[in-house]
Amino acid sequence: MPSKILSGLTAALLAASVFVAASATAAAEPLRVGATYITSGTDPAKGSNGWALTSHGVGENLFTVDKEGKLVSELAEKAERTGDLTWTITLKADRRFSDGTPVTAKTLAAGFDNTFANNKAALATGGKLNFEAAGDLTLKVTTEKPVPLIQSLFAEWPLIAYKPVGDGNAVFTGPYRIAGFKTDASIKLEPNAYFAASEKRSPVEFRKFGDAQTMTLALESGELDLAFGLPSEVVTRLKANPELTTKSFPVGYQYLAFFNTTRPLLGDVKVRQALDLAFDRKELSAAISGGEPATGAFASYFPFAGRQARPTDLAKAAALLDAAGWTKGASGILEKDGRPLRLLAITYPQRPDLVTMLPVVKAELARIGIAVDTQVVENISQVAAAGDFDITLWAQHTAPSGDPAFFLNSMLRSGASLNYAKYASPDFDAILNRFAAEGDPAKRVAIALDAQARLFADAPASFLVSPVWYVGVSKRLKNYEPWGSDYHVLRADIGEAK
Amino acid sequence: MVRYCLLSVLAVFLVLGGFWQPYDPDAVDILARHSGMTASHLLGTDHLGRDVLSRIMAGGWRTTCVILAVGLTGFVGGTFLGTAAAVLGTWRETLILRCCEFFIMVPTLVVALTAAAIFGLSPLSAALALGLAGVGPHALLAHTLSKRVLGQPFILAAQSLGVSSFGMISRHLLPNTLPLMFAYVGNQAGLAVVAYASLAFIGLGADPSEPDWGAMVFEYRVFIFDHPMLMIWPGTTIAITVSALNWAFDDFQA
Amino acid sequence: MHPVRLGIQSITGMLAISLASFTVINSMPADPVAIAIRVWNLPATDETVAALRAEWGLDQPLLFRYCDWLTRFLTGDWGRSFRTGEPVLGEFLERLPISLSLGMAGLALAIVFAIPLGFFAAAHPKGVADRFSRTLSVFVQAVPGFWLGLVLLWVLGVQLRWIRLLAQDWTAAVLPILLIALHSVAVLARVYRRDLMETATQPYFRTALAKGLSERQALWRHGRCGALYALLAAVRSEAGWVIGSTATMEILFGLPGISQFLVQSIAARDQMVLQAYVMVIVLWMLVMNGGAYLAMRFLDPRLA
Repeated sequence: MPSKILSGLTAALLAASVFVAASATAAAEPLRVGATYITSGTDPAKGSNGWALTSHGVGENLFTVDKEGKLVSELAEKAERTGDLTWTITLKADRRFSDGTPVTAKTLAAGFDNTFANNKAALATGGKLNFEAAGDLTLKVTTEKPVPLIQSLFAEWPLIAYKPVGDGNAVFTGPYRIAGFKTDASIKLEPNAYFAASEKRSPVEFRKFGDAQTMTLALESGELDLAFGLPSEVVTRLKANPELTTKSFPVGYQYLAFFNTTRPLLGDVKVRQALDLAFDRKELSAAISGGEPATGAFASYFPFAGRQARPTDLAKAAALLDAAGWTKGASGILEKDGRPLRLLAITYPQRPDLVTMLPVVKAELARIGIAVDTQVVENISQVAAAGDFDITLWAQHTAPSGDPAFFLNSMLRSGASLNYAKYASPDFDAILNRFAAEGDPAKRVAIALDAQARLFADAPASFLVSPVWYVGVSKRLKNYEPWGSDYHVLRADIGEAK
Repeated sequence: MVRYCLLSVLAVFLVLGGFWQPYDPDAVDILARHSGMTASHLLGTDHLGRDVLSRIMAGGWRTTCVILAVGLTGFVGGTFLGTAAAVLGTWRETLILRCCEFFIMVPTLVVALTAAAIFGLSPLSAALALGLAGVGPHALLAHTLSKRVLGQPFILAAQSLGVSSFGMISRHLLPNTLPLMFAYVGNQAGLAVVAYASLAFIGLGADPSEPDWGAMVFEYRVFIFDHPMLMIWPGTTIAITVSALNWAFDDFQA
Repeated sequence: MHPVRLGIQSITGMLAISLASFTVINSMPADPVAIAIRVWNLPATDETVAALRAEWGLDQPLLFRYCDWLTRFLTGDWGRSFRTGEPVLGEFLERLPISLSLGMAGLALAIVFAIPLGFFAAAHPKGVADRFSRTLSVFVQAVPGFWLGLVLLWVLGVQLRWIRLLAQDWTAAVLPILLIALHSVAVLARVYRRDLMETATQPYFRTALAKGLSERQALWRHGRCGALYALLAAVRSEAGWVIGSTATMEILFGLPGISQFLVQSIAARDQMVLQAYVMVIVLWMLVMNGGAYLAMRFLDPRLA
């Protein structure tokens, strides 16, 4: 009998030691993740850190958008409207911060107050919000402007949930916690022990690469388990590598062109419509080898996306330009009163696809007799805000919170701070106003389609490509499913093979 | 003789690019991307289906404009300053020479970089900046040459005959210094080509769709794995052009 | 030349260049106040504009502004970058080591290689070393460094897989340094050789041969100091080439040095960064000039 006990004990010990050894090696071997961006700091209220920290799997929101683009609850259980400007949010009961303290209404309110005091981007939808903890799990919110759907407001990236601990530091709730951070270079992540199934997660070493080409090299030489955002031209080559898997996925980003409606040449709606008709979206998608011709302002998997491909019609474009008084000059370029139709198109290097598209846009407009100068600028938001351009190619996630209103309100409403087209249409604003009063998703879809029809007619912007992006994974992460653009690169389930 | 033939072939190729290319260098043809070397596209096409040979030829014309403008600026400015210093003499000579020496100290590429940063990079701005940076050395050379000529006996003879100073400069001094100055300008042409290519490679707010050789190397560098010939061609063109220029003007090494 | 005189000359030169660059940069077609309001999200009211103009002294005459800027510059206040919002001095201190080590290492390496190459080229005219150095100098004049770097990356990294394309440590700097040095090796070796050859025509050289020294020994014994002197004089002008090459190398190899920072800042019309860049380059040239001068003085005190 004792010997049986002994052997049983030995077996248990052996098993345990094997298990310990296994988990020890797993813990020692972090997953190596590469991307072309990294959070600029660990203060969640600064700049776009809220987005980056969520993307790194460190932070969470009260509500979020899931794989299907649907708005779902995350830290919150539910939200109820109690008045025109007041809401009551109920939090989930069993959630903890990565330091082990429970998630309460009071700590979250302190975090949100800090965000609203320090980050202007948080004000876009509801103005300044006031928070009041009415119990451990009940948060009362008062908005400045009426908000039809507070869930979608809380899914916006500036509203990351955290517990402030002073000096711009914070504790988060996501599946990973920050173990080390080097500005502009790397971030070390450990599984958050207070997040469900933490024992199944390996630590992560997240590295920032200056350009996607270098990142591709790192993936090929086996130095990465996940490379996020591969350049499309390398995909064919990587497909031949048996050690690697490349996956493409549609993203919520849209590649579009804003037309500066305040410039003399583009003030004429006929010219803008002609530009819109001159773009060959199939050719543009082919040029970046990834993506579908855009059907409107939103990626086609959203319910509120347009259903038909935008038309290309050079003859109609030429007729429009002719009606606007532009005639072919000696050099083949259109002229009016001796002045050539010459436009300045700009874009920025942080999205390499746009740089590839720029000469294609130039060539396509040359086909209808429009001369284009091009420029690539590092600080696009400054240049775009200053209005020193005719056309700017832009990549924008047009439904980051799963709702169409945020993009349309923030980038195309008259006088909006990000309205780079300087588009001012009372009719369009009237359509957008209907969003504020409408909570029914089906009816919001109808409003979004109306708004898009107005945009197609006025052409302050031309929607070009709904891109797909590429990730490359090693065998260890071959089950990784990319979704949600770059808003959820790391998350609770990244398909780690154990 | 051979070198003049070579130089004229090069000149014809460069100038021809300003008026005619086999294809529109900006025309995109996605279906014909990365065609490789074929009969219809001698040097192949790039990632957007643009004809590489046409782009190189168009870039050649832009480079030619730079060479000519750089040469002209340095030549005119340098000859003027250097000759003036030699003729004026005394403290004005010292002042001009000191200024030139200080100016030489700032590296050419950095002058051009600064100018491109301020005015945006175009063949004209780059050429003006490179040309201005070249005024210093040109002036010093013109000064040395002029001093040498001014010390010659025939100058003294002319002086004693009472030739006016304008007549002296135009009839006796310049005819003796200009040929050498001109040779020096030719000698610097190769440097100008490389400097302009470097500027275009660095970028600095230039129009990236314009087919400058340096910009093409920058744009095509990402295809180093799958289509290395794209970046080989413009680089080879730079190397051949500069070698030909250097070789043609080698004799006149100042 | 006396060291004091060199010092005075350097300082006057620096002042002249700083005044010239300050004037040009301040005539840039961009209003810094408008940029600042946009970048820092300030309210675009008349008061803000007036306050900023007063703070930066934009209502003052240019010369006054220059003096003000110079005082600040000398006391370490290099202004604030529009693009990053950080003090320019801090941004430069972070990136300067990369650019400087590229430049210094390239130049040092060039000197180390140029001396033996130049010597053997002089000792055996038309020999292997001579032909090699001649070919090299023709080659480096015609082939731009950035393109050669790319071709090397392709051959060594992609075809032969001898080098890792993705080093994040010190090895990343090896290829750029070699490329920077290559041009200077060729130039300096030719200078060194030319001076040694001149020595060989001197009467005392023939005397040395008559004493029974071999040609090579005689060249080394009698020529090396003079040739080193000529080499150092050439280093002064080569330093300008080297710092220019670091710019293309930083872009090609993605090294975060000051030139890359400048390129990123240009689109932001970042005048303070541009001004600081010019000053750093001028300082580099002055230091190289002064260093070469001191070394030359050490070699040949008679020239002091």
